Amino acid sequence: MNVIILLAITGVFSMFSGIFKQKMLALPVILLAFISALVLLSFGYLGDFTALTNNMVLFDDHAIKFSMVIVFLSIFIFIMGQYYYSEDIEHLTDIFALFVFSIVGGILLVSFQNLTMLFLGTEILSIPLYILAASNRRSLASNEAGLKYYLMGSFATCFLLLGITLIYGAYGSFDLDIITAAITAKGLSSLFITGVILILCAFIFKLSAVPFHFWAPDVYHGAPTVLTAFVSTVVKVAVFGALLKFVLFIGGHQGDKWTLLFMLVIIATMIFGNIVSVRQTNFKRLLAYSGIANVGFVLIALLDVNDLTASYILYNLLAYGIASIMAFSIYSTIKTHTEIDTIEGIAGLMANNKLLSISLIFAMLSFAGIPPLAGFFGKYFIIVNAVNAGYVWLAVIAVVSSVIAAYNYLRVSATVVSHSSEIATIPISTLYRIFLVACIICIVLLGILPDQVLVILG
Amino acid sequence: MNILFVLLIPFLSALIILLASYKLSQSLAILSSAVSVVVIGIMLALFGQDTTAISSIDLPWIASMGVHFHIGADGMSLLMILICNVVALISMYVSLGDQIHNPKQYFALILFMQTFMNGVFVAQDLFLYYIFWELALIPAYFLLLIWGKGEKLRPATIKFFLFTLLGSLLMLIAIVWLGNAGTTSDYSLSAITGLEIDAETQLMIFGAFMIAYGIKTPIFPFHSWQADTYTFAPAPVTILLSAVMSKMALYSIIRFVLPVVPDAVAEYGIYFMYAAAFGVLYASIIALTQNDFKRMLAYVSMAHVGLIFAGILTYSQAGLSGSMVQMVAHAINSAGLFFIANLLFKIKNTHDIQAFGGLRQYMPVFAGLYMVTMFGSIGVPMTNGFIGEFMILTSLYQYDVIVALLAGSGVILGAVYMLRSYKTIMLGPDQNTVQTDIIGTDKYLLYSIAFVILFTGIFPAWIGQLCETSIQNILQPYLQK
Repeated sequence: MNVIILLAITGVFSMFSGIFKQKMLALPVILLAFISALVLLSFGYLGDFTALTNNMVLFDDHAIKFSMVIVFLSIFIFIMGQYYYSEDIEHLTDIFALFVFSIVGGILLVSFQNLTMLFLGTEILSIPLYILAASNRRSLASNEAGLKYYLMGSFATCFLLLGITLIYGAYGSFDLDIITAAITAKGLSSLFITGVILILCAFIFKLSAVPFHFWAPDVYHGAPTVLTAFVSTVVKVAVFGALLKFVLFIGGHQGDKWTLLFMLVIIATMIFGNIVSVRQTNFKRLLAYSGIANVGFVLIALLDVNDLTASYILYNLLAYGIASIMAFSIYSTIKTHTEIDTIEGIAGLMANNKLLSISLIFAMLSFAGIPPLAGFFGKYFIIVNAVNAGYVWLAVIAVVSSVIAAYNYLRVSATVVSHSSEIATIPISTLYRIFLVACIICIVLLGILPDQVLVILG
Repeated sequence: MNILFVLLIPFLSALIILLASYKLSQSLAILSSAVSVVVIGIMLALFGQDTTAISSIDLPWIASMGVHFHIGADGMSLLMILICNVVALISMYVSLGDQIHNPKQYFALILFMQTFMNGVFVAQDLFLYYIFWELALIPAYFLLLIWGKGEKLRPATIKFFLFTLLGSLLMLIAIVWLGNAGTTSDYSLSAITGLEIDAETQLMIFGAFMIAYGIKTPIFPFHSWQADTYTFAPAPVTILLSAVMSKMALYSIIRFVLPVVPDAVAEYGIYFMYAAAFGVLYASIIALTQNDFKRMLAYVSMAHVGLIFAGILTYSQAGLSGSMVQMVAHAINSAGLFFIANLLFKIKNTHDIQAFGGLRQYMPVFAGLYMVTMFGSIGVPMTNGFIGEFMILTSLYQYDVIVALLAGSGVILGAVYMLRSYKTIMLGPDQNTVQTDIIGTDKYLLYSIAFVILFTGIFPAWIGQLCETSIQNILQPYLQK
């Protein structure tokens, strides 16, 4: 809870720093606040606010681990954002404030203990995102993305609210503990089952898994790249955090009923995401589809929930997130300087831009799951877990679809080193250099020390 | 002496090259490879006196999964590392004559590849082995992409990568199963060799491993990536791919497949032997029709490794010893032949055999050394190709006559296409503009290759002695039954 207060104040500070013309202060203060938040989380200085919040949020181990990953990935997002918005410094602080508020929503979401909080968290997370998606005011695509995201997001919220209402109608409470007690006393009601399915639909919507994926490519493509990176990494962590908590909650009540639903979503998402991405020529869209495919992959972990599930999911999302932020930031750097946004366009990047190319290759190899990079263990843990739980054929589908996915990433890395053309040197700042090197180190370290990382996340 | 040196020397040299000036990279790379070869020579000498002289390393790495960083070497591993590093040194020398752009990255990547291939040969933990196996592919992929030449370079390279990746993932599933088959997770070779596996599971594991190795070697019908990849790759990389990378698969069959699933090998090995032996004939026939010298050599290489593949699966003393001898021979011969292809390319800027003719009168030294290398490849007595081929064919004949006939006819065809290409290039009608004989490093390198071919042809016994204990250990589970 301390973390939420700290970050909310940081958001407000960021807004005021814009008003008082202290724009250069925003990033250092935000980074400082996020690092302190990380320290608070890891040492457990959370404060006891149970009575104050009426037991609506619960900072248990689950919430702390997910919040840590959210905060950690956000640090990368802000550094990328500083670089991305360096042209449009005018609104920088407002934009940063919106990001911070959204992150606060994410932390609320992973720590929900009451269905109202689930709703509030989702909204606090999403509303800044709708604005941010349209923040590139002069671009038609960005406006379209904002509107589409808003409409589709509202749609998902309707599902969520209706589901919550039905559950309330069945047991007369929003509190997870009270509902659990009521279910034991009164038995499972059909209203509850309907409500749960509606809420799961809302989650699938937010995760952009098939069959509720159609908004994602357009929104990802049109929105400012920082936002795309944010939505496909940090937001996914928050939504998965909430979903895992929700699955743990419903899992006790005839969990096998939801398994079939999940399996269909997983298979459709993995196959769709990977096969459609083969035909993409736009780099950003390729990343968007690979994000969809990865969601399918992570959902496998939810089929067999055990003590380690949270750490496996977090490991995968962390590995995917860092590589993804790196790839998106490189895309936006190239786009800003050369107007290139296709995969074929980046042919010959290696000739004059060594660091950018090597970072991109690392990201791609990690996506492709080459050991011992982070992406390999991200997939490995989930597949082994699925095999141990008896979902062997699902593991086989996952392996085959990751070979298809590997084709995409190899295609990109092959284009980067191709010598059919050359891209002129793209100037990059020292901060950005440090950022890229830090990302590479993270990817390699996560892969070399998976055990230690799992212990931190477990 | 610690086995870690074979990983550290090339790995650190690669890092140093990346940091040093690009003018130094070539000499540093050659220096490092030479040091590696010397170190391995010392190791071999120590090993000859005392088989426990090479100390291994065993550190816990991923404790929750039971994965260790466990490396060590026996006679067979040492022999493979020797091949790997000698070939790497040859490959660096071959690069000397070519004007290579970005030499820093180029030599660093070759050294990384060398490190990871050494890793494959010394890993004693199956998970670690898998990681080295997969890592060795990455430098090869970029070496091909950046320094390769050919119209369809990119699709061919991606095909090469995806083929091997698919095989590796199948192998990974088998490895994970093996690692978790016991009471606790343990991927160490000794634990996995001791497992009692039922017949059905043995078949599954055997299949997964053999598809992975069949692709990497390659044997028929998994070979479709090979010809393009070998043709488009720069000569030094082709040398590494054909001489060392294919040996990674052959070595792995001996090390991991035979002792772990002996029943499946005895029962189903014959199908892979048929495939491999048919591949020998098939590749030889295609080689006959090739006009592109380098592409022809790619098929020659496929025919030779197919024969070794079949020989290993006989699971007999003669088959295994013959395979070891033949692996050494193939590594040297194939390095020599691709080097010759590169020298020819520099004369006329083409690999087309028909473009050459009557070279012998201008280049007598080259012609003579080419002939020795070719005889090694055909397997003429007194050259290194003879003894191994003879042992393998004998063991195949004892195992199954049809396999021996298929493979044997391929070997006969081998003489036909090699002599035919020699005739056209060296003897045929004079087609030359201005010619001088090979000089400098090229000459000395080819002399040394020819010397090694004759030396191992006349004194092949040391290979058998070096590997004897290893082969006995591998034959043990089979002989017990």
